[in-house]
Amino acid sequence: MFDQKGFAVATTCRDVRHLYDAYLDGELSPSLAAEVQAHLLQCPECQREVEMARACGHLIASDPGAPVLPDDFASRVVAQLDQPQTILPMPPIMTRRQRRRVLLERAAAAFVPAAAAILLLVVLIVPPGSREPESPRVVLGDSSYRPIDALGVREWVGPTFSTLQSTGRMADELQGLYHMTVREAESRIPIRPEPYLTAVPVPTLPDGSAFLTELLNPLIQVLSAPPPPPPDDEIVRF
Amino acid sequence: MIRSNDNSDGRLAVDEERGLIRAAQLGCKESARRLILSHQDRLSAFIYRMIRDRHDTEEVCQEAFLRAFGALRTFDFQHRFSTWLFTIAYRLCLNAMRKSRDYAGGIDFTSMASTHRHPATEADDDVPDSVANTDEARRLRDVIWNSVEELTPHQRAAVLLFYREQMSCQQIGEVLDMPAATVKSHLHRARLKLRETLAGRMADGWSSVRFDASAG
Ligand SMILES: [Zn+2]
Repeated sequence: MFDQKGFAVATTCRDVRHLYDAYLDGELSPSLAAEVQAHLLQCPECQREVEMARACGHLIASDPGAPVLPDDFASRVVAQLDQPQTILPMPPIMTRRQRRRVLLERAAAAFVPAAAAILLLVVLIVPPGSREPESPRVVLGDSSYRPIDALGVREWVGPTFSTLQSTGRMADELQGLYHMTVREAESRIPIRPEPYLTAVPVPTLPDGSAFLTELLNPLIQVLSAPPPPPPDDEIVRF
Repeated sequence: MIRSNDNSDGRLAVDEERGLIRAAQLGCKESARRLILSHQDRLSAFIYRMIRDRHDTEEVCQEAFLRAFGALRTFDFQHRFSTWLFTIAYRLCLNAMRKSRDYAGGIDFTSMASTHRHPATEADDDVPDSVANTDEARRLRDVIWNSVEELTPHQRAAVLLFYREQMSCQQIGEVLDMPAATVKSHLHRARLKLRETLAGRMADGWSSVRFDASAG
């Protein structure tokens, strides 16, 4: 590591620990890689850790360790492809954007008929001849509790108003339905799985794991040998 | 690079894979079979490492293939077949895990996970090194897989796809349905956690077993 003036200062374990993965992946710049290497030369503990990470990666990459599928697995799957009723639909796999689009489409699908119904009612409520610019608002807002009906508004507002109320209920129902479909859609799309807590002991594999020994031998060497103090002349100091 | 990049596990070249998918889309069963054969072992290993159940592994594996072929007409040739397949399988794994967690009633088996291996015995001194090492290697392997098991499903999937499938963060993001940057941080945290878990187990388990044995 370098201080503000660019002078190399002592590299501590903490400085380089977060770089080990990138170091093993070969993703560090040559200068950073050299720094990590220098630290590893003088720090047996970190050397161990890197060796462990390396062995761990190798093992995860190449240990088969999984149950072997039956020999006729592929043929059986192909045979099932012949029967249309066994072909399963895709599980809901959508990107966030697709998911949002589907939800919006559903919202639009629920919204358009409701809006159309309300619009239609507003048009019906106000007969063409008597339409004043503000009359729909008056009818919708005030008619239900107006005691005097001098203009005979009630006569025709009454039935339409109840229709309007039932339209409101319908809209609520549509709304509810929409929420239900959203909930259902979300329940079918696993978005945030909870942490998986159950773990089962690893079954032991049959013998003949010579490759395993070979794979893990470097680490075993490192682990088995008591960490030797690095000879002075090999220490690269910063 | 610590990721294996051998081609010996039957991985298909891009062109060959596309040809097989096109043929399978037109109903060619032999092409479908070859696609399955070249992916089944990798897929079942991934599923097994995710759900940890031998019986369910085959079932989930089969379902993943059936679903993939059921929707093959919509396959996007910009992707690899494996990305598509693992995406389906990952979803199915999450569902299977949810089911088995409900079934297990939320019991945490983690503490039982690392106790089934016999530690090396004092007989180690009398046997050739290679045998002792095989035992140690097996123990080490168990320790490593147990640590992998303790990662969250996201982290575990990311680690498996990174090391075993050599997928980029971008590809892993497609499988897990998250941005590549999020995958990167999952992966970083997962690897750090693995190192810490292993360091802890090596410190209190490994060295004492090994050193006691050779001292006695
Ligand atoms: Zn260090």
